[in-house]
Amino acid sequence: MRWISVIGAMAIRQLKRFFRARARALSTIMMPLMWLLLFGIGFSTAFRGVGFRSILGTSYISFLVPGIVCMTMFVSSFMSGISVIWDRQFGFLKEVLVAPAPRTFIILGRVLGDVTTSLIQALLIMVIGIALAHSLYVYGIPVALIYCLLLGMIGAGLGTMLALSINSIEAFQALVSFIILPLNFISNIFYPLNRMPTWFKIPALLNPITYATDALRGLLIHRCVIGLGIDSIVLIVVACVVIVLAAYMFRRTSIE
Amino acid sequence: MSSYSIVVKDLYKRYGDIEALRGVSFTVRRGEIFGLLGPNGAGKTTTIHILTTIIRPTSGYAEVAGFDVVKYPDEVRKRIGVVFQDITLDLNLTVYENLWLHGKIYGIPGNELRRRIDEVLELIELKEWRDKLVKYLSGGMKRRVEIARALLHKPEILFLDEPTLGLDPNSRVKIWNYVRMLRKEHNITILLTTHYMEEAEQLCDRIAIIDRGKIVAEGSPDELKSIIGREIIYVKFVGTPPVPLLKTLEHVREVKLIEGGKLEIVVDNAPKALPEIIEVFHKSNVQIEEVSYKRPTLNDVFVYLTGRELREEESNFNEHIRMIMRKRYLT
Ligand SMILES: Nc1ncnc2c1ncn2[C@@H]1O[C@H](COP(=O)(O)OP(=O)(O)OP(=O)(O)O)[C@@H](O)[C@H]1O
Ligand SMILES: [Mg+2]
Repeated sequence: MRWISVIGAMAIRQLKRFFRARARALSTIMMPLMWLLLFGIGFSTAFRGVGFRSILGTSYISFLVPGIVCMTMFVSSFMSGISVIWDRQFGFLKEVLVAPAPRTFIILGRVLGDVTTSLIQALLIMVIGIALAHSLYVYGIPVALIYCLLLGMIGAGLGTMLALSINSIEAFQALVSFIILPLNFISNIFYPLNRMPTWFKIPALLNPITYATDALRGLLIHRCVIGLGIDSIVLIVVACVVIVLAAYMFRRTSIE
Repeated sequence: MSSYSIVVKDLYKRYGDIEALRGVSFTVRRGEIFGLLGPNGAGKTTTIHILTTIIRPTSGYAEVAGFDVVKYPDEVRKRIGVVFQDITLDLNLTVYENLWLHGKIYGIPGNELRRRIDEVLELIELKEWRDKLVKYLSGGMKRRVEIARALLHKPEILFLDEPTLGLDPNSRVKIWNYVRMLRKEHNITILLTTHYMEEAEQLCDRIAIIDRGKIVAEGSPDELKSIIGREIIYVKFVGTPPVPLLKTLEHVREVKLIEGGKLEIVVDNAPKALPEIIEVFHKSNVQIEEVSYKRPTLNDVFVYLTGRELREEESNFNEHIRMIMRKRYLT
């Protein structure tokens, strides 16, 4: 049972660090909040009566909330990968590398802790979203959080892999905007999958965020396009692959 | 069990074009305090990193606590405590949380862990600081916390990479005392690196002098000093010194008049030469005002072996720069 203590301790460490840097946490939640407020409300009111409801089956803001929740989840967990670089620069990585604990558990603990902090942020966005768009099915939230967790594992795993391969804060931050922005737009966050042209649909279907958003729409507004079954399989498989790769990279990392 | 805690044979380490280690060999006996003394860039940290399994040697063999560091890194890791040259604490956690995290990663069960944390905090005299964030601690305190953390899992061997680098004299003495105490009461083997010769001299049972990736000498401080085979006696006198007569003495190598009305006499065995010298002065009716005697320092040994100084001034300067950089980085 030693491994549970290693994973747990690393997760708690990530959580403690998160709660001690609330300002940073607040800044990561600002971006999705802006999207929700400015874009969601703006769009809904500007195109009132244009027939969103007949296309989406619900108001645009209700349609947007699950997407923005997934955006929050993915972006926040992806960004958390940067802590690996901080640890390298501030030396803490050495403390971990010289320990006899298997590195796979260390990285699992980190990811778990980071995903939890992202979940807190996603939940916050969800609550605000529900307050704004009062037609969401609240009882879908618990299961929705499980899909968020899977998406978070994917985000944190990918972020960690990027962090391990570049080792520079500046490069990481520069690359993040290159990666995050297209990933958010080439997905079903802002537009419905079933109204996309094929050339757009194919890359969107290669994007894990699409599946999480689809699942959340199924749960929160009862508008699923792909289907919860496929969503689940895709997310679970991708999460496993990403975590295994991230663990593999972390095991091979050195301070040279 | 072998009587050696650490065996290093012909270690090489290359970083691209730089050869950081060029055939390093030495042995550390069980229970001793062993020092690696050398100037900046000599390869001390590289050696520590290889012995603590976080980098691999390009070639050569190293064994720590009876295990090959390349083949059985986990066995080595279980048995060592390490304080790296640069701080490796989590600055955003408290002292207690840092120790707790370390204990959990090393698999120390809850109750035992709490007891041991109290114990090590007692040892480093930082009990009142346990709930402070590490980033608010002074450099010396951080070092002490790192030592406490390295001891938490009761290692057989403790590695200290420049444990007193950049610390004030007070903190330095504190750390020296802990090191001595650990060896005496807990029988831990300690390998420390330093570029302060007085630290090596004060603390270590045996020393290896390392320069440009090679060990140039190994032995106790006294053994190392006897390599030079020369000591200096200064005599202050009134009148005309009996220089020719002094030069005929068995143990005297050189005689030189220096400023301040003093004679500098280089001898190969001061205890034997001194009475003879005094007698010569006496016979020649030259009054002696003052006699002083200078033992060679480890710096002299270093100069003798390498033709260069250990150069404390320069290293202090580099250290200063390094501290500034570090401070900038952290804020
Ligand atoms: N990761 C690295 N990449 C390239 N060169 C390195 C690396 N680490 C160390 N070196 C080089 O290897 C040599 C030995 O460095 P090392 O850090 O072992 O010296 P040191 O004796 O610990 O010096 P100091 O007193 O400054 O800590 C130096 O020339 C250094 O520049
Ligand atoms: Mg060093």
